[in-house]
Amino acid sequence: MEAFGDFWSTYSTLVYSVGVHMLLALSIWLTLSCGLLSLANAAFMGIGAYVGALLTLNLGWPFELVLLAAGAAPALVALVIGAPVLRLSGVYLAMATLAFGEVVRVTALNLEITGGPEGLNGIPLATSGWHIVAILALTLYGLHRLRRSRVGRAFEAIKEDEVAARLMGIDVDRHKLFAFTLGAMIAGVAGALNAHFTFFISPREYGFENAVDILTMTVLGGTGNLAGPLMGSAILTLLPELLRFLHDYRPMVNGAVLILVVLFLPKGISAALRRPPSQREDTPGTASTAAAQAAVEAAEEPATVLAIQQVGKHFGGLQVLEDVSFIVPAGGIYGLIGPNGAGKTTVFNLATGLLAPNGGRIEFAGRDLAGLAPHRITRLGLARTFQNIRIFGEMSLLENVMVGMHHHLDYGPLALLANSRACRAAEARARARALELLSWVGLAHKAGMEADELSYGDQRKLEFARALATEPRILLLDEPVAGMNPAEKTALMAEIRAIRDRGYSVFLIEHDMRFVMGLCDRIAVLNFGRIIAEGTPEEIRDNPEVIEAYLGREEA
Amino acid sequence: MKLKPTSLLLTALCAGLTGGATAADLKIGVAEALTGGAAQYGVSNRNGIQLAAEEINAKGGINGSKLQLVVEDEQGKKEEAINVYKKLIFQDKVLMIIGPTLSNSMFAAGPVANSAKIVAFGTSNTANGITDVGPWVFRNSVMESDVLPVTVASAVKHYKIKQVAVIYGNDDAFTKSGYDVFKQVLAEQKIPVTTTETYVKGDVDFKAQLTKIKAGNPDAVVCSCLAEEAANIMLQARGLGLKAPFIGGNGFNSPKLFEISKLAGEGTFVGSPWSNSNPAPANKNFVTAYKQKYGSEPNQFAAQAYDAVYIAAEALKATKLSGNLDTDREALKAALPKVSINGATGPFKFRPAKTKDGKPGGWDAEQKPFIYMIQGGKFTLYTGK
Amino acid sequence: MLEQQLLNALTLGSVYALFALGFTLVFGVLAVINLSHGAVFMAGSYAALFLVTRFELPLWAALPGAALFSGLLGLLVDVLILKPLRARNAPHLIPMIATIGVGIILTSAAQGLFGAEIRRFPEEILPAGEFTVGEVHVRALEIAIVAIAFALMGLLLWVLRGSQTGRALRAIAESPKAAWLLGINVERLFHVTSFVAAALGGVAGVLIGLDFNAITPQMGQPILHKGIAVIILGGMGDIRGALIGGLFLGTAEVLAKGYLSSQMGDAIAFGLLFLILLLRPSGLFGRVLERKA
Repeated sequence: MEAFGDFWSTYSTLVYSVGVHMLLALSIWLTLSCGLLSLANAAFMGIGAYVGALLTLNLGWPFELVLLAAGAAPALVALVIGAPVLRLSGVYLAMATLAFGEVVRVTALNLEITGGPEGLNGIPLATSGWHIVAILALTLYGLHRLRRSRVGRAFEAIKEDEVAARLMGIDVDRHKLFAFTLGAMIAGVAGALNAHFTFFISPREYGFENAVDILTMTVLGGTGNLAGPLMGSAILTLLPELLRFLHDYRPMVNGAVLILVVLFLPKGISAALRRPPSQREDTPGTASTAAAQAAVEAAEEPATVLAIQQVGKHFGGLQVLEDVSFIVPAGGIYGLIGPNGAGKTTVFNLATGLLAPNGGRIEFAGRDLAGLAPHRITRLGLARTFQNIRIFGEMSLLENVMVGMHHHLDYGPLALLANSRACRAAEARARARALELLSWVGLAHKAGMEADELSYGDQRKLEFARALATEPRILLLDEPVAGMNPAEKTALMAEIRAIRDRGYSVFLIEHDMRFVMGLCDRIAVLNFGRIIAEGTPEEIRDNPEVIEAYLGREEA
Repeated sequence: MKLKPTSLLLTALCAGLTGGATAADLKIGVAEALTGGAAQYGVSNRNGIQLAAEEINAKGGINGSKLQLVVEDEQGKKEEAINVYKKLIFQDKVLMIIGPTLSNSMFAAGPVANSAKIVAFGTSNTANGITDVGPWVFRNSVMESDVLPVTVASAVKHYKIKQVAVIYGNDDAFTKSGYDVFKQVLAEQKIPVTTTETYVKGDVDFKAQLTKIKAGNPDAVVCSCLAEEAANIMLQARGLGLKAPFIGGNGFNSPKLFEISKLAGEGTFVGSPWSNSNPAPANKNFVTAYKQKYGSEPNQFAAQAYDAVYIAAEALKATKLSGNLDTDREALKAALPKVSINGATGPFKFRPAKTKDGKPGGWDAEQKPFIYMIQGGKFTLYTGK
Repeated sequence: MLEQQLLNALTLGSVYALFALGFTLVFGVLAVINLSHGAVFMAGSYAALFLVTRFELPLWAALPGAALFSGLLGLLVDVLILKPLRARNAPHLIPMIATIGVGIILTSAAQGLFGAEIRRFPEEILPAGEFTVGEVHVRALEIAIVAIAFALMGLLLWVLRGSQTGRALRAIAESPKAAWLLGINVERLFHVTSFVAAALGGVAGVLIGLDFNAITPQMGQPILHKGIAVIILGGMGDIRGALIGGLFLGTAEVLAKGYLSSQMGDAIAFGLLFLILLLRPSGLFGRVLERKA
């Protein structure tokens, strides 16, 4: 007992530091999990530490309240700078957050209230073991719940493919801002905890090196699961203590560990220790009311789903679309054909909100789409697939499809945290519906596989199922048979007809004539940015202009 | 208290290991930044401490016991300083601790010592408020507020200064607190400041600030900087044709100043408790022994750390050790304020700190500063003529 | 005073540009933010110091020696670390994190070998000479730095524009895969680029070590931050941008220190960087890339 007493007296601060570093690693794990590399977390930690210490020193607030404020303050800052900063991606985001961190550090250096470079000293000891344990447990639980929810799936989808995530109806900007803000809050609380057991804070503790330290811990442990940041921070906090005998060369080991992990354990230590993933347990659910609901919605369909009216688009001096007008009627299969470079995909990008037209009007079910963000348009009932398939490769099939249901799952954050019955029920329904959609395309038996493991044709089908999961009224298919052999094409035709028969409208782009002629009810022909013909397959086939402009060349 | 058997066992073990010591060794903890950015100061501190301990042990130790140093690297980081302190206190069970190197680290480690009731002895912590931490915190580093008023007054008198420019490092606790004192002293002595310029750690280009200073045409440049930066500032100032003399604080006190600046620092006024050319025998011994052992010139950090060990030794000499760690640490704390020595930094004794809130604080250095003027690349004592 | 400040700005800007040159080159060709560039810069400085003090080489011989040493260091990093990562097709942030590790190792090695204190070149070998034009003081060393920065920049641009290697490099910068399909030995050119960029960093280290006469293990860190600011200002991967960005940042910093407040120097540098990233992510002078949906 006495030995333990001595041990604890000696190493309690070290153990506290491990806890705080775990929180910091989790804070950056959160932003990384939706694909953001932010180096601002050291600065957020600093903001939390300063706010907390000042409240304790000057106003004598109770510590629990101090911790709350220390979380709230950086979260507010993150909210304010998040909107502009998070528009940047990849390296640029890293650099912008690094610059923000420097601005925070220099500000703390020059303010009177922060004590300038001398920092704040005499901060009373207020952090106790249970504070750290409780907050760490709460954070872990919250993040764990988040990970298994619509939000966690949305994060993963954003990380894998931002555009595809948008088109699944996910409000990407809001999710990023949420991760950034929540990360800032966790870092801020960690900062206040640290300040209240080290008696002293100064600006130099929150600079670039510290941001890198936090990042290193997370990367070392691995970002694939929550155990990663925990392991990484524990190792990197304890390692220097174990390496005391190396003296001057001690930091070298840190550097070497970093390189070796990046080189040989690309997914971090935690992933290396895990057994290879077995099939995830995904048992089919029961009810399938959503399907019935979709059918009802389809029945109320107005006659026109999508109306393109005098739409023009140019990139710089290049006019891609000029005065394009056509109407996609409800309930059928509509085709848009034209040679390469005619502007077909641009039409899709305009309709889904990825691009804004330079003129004209696009109406969906009588509603003008001008100015609507892609995720809003998706939520109205317009879903698409891509010519070069864009599935979320590292997610399971089931998760891929469930991402599509994002906006139909409307449990709140509290329900999520409490794991309430409503929340569980909603998740179960979504899972059942996802399995149902997978079985429509014949992939239900592979629901637990990672999407990357699928064959090309199966990936196409998965993309269909995922698009259908958004419960669209119209499905936009961008060259669905690209790269397929005749047998596959025939099978896919049947698939598309089946989708139509379930009450969805289909609008597709293709330049495989035989496929389009055999499948579509009506066809529009685009050439050099203009519609040169519109009508039934027979009318198109006999249209001399089409033959001259398109078929003639294609056949030759 | 059940600590006793363990500590006896430990001391017995130590005695067995070192062999031949008649009484138990006196364990002193040393926490210094031996790696990282503050290492250049921490290593000087450790060198001074080791030199003094070896000298004392060579002369037979203290009341028959040898000093045993337990040296740990605190990396100049506050968490590390706390960890090292705790290790020294609870695991190595030392009598007292010298260090840490930076004021920042002392702010973090001091409270640990205070609540564990063990002396924390700073040799290079000059920041305000260090000894506010509590009654167990001691330092022999002289505060700038004791030195700078005399320095500035002497320089003003010598050069008939009407106005000055100020430059300081604004991201470093040491140079910033030096600046705060300078600012107050200049205000008290009613000397106008033409411009106040700053730089940050790692800056090596001061030309923009110096060009601006030169434009203000000051009679002197007040500089709260560390020696290396000061030397670069002087060199670049002369390169820009700025001829005004410099007035510096504690940070100037290093032979580095001349190694780098050569004669660019001529006429500079420095106030300090130590200089390598102070002819007092204690200092001459120190400088010679240091050069012999480490092959380089000592600096003020080494000198103050060296003196700290002698101060501790003096207190230990007057303390009857019981073998009970708690009472021995307490006795040592009681003995320290009575110590007065004549060391490498001149006559020294402690004075009780005046704390902000009137609570009993620790102990500051009571030492008369010497004012030096740099002439011929050397610190020469300024006598006012 | 303005003339002197402008000269100060020119020297500081050239220093930044010289450093950013290799930094931006690596990004342009390898698409890697090489955060060990600061440490390579430091290593170049120490290499020259070692050659000058241990082997008593003259400065003109130590400079290429240091360049060679840094270059080999860069090559080593590319072969041992970046190449396997490329082979694995690692996400672009992974190599950046690996280079952070390289930086830590080099810095710590330098401190272990040479100690933490500031080292200097011996007085005798410094190019002496300074003169006054009107109010402006000029040192020979400053002229050398500006001249070398511009000369290296010119040389690099000339190689990139005019030579077959340059064309190949530009092709790689556009698309390594396409370049490979065209029969360009992409790996070899990655190695060459890493070598050249690190050598340039080493030269910058020596010149700056000479100018400010202060060499420390940590000297790479502040300039790395400035280098990041420069290549973002100038447009990442843009060689001319490195020069323009360097001069721009140097001028902004010097003028801020000279006419606003010296406390603002760094705040301005990073505040500016922050703003520019938000308003023009591809840099002040870089071309705006059309993002494809």
